Amino acid sequence: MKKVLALLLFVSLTGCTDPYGVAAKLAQDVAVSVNQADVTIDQFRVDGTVTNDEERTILGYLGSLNTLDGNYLACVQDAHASPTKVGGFTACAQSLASAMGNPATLAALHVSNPASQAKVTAVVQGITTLVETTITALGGK
Amino acid sequence: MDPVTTINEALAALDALLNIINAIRGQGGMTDDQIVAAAQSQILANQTQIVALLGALPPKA
Repeated sequence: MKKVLALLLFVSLTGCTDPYGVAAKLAQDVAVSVNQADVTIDQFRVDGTVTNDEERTILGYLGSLNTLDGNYLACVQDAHASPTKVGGFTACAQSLASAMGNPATLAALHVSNPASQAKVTAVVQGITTLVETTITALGGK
Repeated sequence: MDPVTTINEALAALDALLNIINAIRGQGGMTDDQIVAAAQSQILANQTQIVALLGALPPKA
């Protein structure tokens, strides 16, 4: 456990040594998560646990999230192209976190079936955790 | 709450966080630019898929 604490302290104090790779990996992870969520939500609709309107709303959110992810990736590439700019990668990730956490948008992700709602919530929380963890791992770089 | 339980829960949470960080760092031998290319490709595929799924849904009443 001391190793864990030491690593976390190291990460928080120095940031990671490959911020471009870590920042880019987040874009890939979010994209894969969106892809899996698309498939899952459509299957819920086929199974009858999500209505057509609910799927339309959730796919709209996932589409927006996918667009935000594309914008984030472009931001990361800009930061990589400007290595002297301090905090560029972290700023990209913070912008993504802010945009995807819009309360009004999240409130619209309501599904009447409890099991399907739990799955939707888990996906959104999982992506949010990915973003927040990456911001921590970047350590301000 | 029992202090030992609290500490154990905190340590378990730190372990979970470390696992996530390691997962993010584990890039499967890909270069940074390969990761970017893979992400771009997946984002484009997602857009196409979402449009197709929305198109397959019945029109709103």
